[in-house]
Amino acid sequence: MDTSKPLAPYDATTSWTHREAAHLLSRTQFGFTPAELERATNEGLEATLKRLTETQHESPDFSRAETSLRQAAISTGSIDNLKIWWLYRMRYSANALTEKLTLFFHNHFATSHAKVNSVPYMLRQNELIRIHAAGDFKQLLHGMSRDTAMLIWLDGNANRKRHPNENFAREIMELFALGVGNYTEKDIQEAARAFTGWHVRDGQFWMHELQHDDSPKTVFGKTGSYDGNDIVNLCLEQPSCPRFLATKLAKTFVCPDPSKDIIDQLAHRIRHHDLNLRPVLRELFSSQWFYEAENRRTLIKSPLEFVLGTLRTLVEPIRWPGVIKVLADLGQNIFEPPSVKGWEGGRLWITSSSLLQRANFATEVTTTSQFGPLSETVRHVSSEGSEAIVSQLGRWLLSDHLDDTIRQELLKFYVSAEGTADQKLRGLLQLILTLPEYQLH
Amino acid sequence: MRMTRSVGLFFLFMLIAIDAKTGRTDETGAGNGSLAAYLPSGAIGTLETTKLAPLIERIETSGALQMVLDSPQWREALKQDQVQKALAGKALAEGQLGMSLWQFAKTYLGDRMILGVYPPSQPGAQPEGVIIIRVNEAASLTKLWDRLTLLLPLAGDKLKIGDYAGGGRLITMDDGGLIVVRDRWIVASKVKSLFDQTLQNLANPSPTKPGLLESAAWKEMGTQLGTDHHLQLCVNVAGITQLAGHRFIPSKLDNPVFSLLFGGYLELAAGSPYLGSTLDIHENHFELRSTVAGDPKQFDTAHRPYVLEGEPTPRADVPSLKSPLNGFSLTRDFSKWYRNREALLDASLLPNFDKFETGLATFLPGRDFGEEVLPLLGQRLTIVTTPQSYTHLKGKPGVQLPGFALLLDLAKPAEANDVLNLFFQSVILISNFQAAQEGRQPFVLSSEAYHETQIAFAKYVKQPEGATLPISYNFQPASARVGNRYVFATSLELCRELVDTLKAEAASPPARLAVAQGDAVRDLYVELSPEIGADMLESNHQILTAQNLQQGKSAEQSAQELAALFKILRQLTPITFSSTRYADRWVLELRGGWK
Repeated sequence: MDTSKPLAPYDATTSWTHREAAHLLSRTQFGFTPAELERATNEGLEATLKRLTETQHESPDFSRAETSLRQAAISTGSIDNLKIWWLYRMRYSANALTEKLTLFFHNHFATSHAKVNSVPYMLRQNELIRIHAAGDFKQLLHGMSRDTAMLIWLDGNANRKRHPNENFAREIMELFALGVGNYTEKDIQEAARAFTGWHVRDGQFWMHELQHDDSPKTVFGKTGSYDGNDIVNLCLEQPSCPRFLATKLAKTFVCPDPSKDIIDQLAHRIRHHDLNLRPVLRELFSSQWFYEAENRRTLIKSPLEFVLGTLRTLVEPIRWPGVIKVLADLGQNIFEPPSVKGWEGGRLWITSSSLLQRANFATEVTTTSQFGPLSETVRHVSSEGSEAIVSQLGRWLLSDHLDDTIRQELLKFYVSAEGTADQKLRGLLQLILTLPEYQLH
Repeated sequence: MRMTRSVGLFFLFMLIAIDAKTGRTDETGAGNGSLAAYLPSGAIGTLETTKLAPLIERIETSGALQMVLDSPQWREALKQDQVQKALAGKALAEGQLGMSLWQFAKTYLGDRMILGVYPPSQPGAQPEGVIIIRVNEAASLTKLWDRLTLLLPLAGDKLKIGDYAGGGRLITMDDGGLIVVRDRWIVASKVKSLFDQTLQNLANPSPTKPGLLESAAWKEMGTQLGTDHHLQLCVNVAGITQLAGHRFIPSKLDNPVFSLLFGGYLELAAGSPYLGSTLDIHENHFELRSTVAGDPKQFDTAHRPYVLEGEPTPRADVPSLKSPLNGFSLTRDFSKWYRNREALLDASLLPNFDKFETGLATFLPGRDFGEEVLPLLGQRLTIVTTPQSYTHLKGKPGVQLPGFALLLDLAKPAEANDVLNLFFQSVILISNFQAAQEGRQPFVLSSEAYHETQIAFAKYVKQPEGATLPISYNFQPASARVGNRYVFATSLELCRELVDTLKAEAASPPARLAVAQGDAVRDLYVELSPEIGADMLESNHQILTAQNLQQGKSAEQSAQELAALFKILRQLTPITFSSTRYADRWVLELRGGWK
């Protein structure tokens, strides 16, 4: 590897096996099915990455089901129905990376239904994110600054000419675009004035001119009669903006502690592409750095990656109502992030309590049909020999990273287990799902 | 192998049953009367079936059965292991019997059967029982015998076969069970005294010991219910009470709704000699009745609210709407029931009433519900549901809920009208607070004079627009007083329809109301139209599809299942449930039908 250029392209012609394919899929999707792994392995990096990063047509079955689930959520006003709609998309959409990026930005712009209290607004925000998730961050940030759910979440209607509310101005600088240390309190106060009058009426963004302060403001050392759009543009122009995004992307998709050097390079590429993320992601997922051995199986699976990834590999069809409860129990209640900071993730995903709950989930998936039956493909594995079964499951569930010690232990367990072939298979699956190695990807 | 052995034992039982050579002819002259005549006295309950053969034939050849067998739900059920095992067992049994199970049931279970249940011989033990089966003709048993002879060795030493002293073949099971087969009869029991007495009664139409029919419970039940029903259950309430040493139906119930609906029936049942249930299935409808005997007017003070006094006594009845989905009507002295709640309900429930009154104070500030509100109301509460109209919207909600209306009889119409108007206005006010929180349109109160009746209603300041509006937009509250009845409706259209209907039915009572009640007072009436229910479900098919998708079904599978469900519902005619009080009994009746 050329260490001087870590973002240099990875040479897939020298090594593109199940391991590399599994690594790519596990980082860019919520798990993978055995068929998806085979396809990615056979098609190679270039074709797989093209499929992941370019918009794919959804199947008629998916579109029909997705429409029904979305409609049910709107009609009933039930946030649980909306959660199921999104989980269904995460699992079955042909645009898996887009869904993962949608979650990335849902966490970035963390907005909770607990305060917004409207399924249509939460849905609209989610769809706004989806449209721009793999695209232009500038448009996304502008869209979010006028988004109904965001305006309710950060008290837009309380931001009035004579009583500026700093919530949105603070969060756009601290959490959405720049990060702590890249602005002053005075910048926030002045920016808040620029957002005065950005209200909601009849469920839509409303420029309440009478409440807008159009007097001059000084932000980041520049002065003008700025409005909210100008402040968003000023934030996007700051050098810290691509660095802020680069750090989040690297920590989410590659490794928990990226070096300053790699962040600099990634930030440079983001600026180079004018904050358009699609080419940046292509470069990232095809870089030497992404495939370095030290960056594989170093991220702790979030509850969504753990639960949905497990179900994607093992279960078909999925019964969804139980899934949202498990996710909430494990700490990742989508559409209801804990605070404006979202889920911090990383090591915080694993606690003594959540580890026990992950083990319980493993038991339920493998021994009951609460989340649906084991898929045909997985059940048919039991007809193979012991070593083939262990290898196959290792490939599907541990991205083919099965060291000899674990392989022997799994084999020993399977051979000595009692019961039918199906019972033995389920026991082996349960054991793998509770391995510390399975909590990583 | 285990299944084979069990099947073998079953067939052996049938085999013995058809040994006609040693059996006696039907010397009892049983005719078509209840088989309870042959059971010994002292039973605490009986279950009897009569003339099931034509019924089984109708079910077997009905289009409804075929519809169920063709449904995707059934195809899905066929994938389950237990269903597969059951079908395999059925095929095995039919192979051994040489006939379908339908034919078997018609031939051997299609005449009369009775199970008599007797008190346990020792305290804490299981109750004892006697079964009598009368088959259509002895010859059919002979045929069966011939087929099953080969299975006899499978029984091993589980049973012994011999002759019964009084005639017929006796099977003695290794667990003490006794079976005698005599001509068209099969009698089985584990208690020799019951067994012998039953056979003696069968042999002798004038037994020395009195049969079950001589007991007070069965005498009264026979008089009040008759004996020729497809299914007839009799519980000897007096007998059980005597055995237990105390009433086994509690005097205080632990569910206020159940108390309000069935408290009177249960109180009468507690002192009734019997509780009888009958099921009759006709060409295109069925009737399920449950009866207890006694005079409700003899109730103590606490239970008097279940028996209305004064003339005319209101009848539980539902106004006739254009598209009725559901109807519910209940007559009680609600005010007295509420005052007597300490005597009628379990003490653990009483704090909930305080919470209820506290909550209600939001809507009716400064008024005591029990003492100041309920006495203003009359003795009848009626609820109707119907497909909702959406004239208050430019579009429709995504989930279409049924519209409903609450009709309250008023004891003091003028005073009650003010209180209920206040309640209506408070509901609208609170709804508007919620609307502000949820970001939906608020209501503004309005009114109109409709056919000389003033209707108050809520309307949206700005008419909501959209093809799939949120669920909360289903309703447009409206209220009106028509004579001594107050109407709360969930749409102005429904309120108007009820105003017209109530006025028309008061001016010219329809046939159902014109008939004098006599000593029969209907105090509870519920009706349900499956066909209109199917229409309503179909208008929400997208939501139902989503629910199926959430359960892991495919869109296509869901569409097939829903189509089958709608088809089945549309084959059903309205279902009704009623409670009717007579001078000497109280009857609950469920009726339904199919096209």
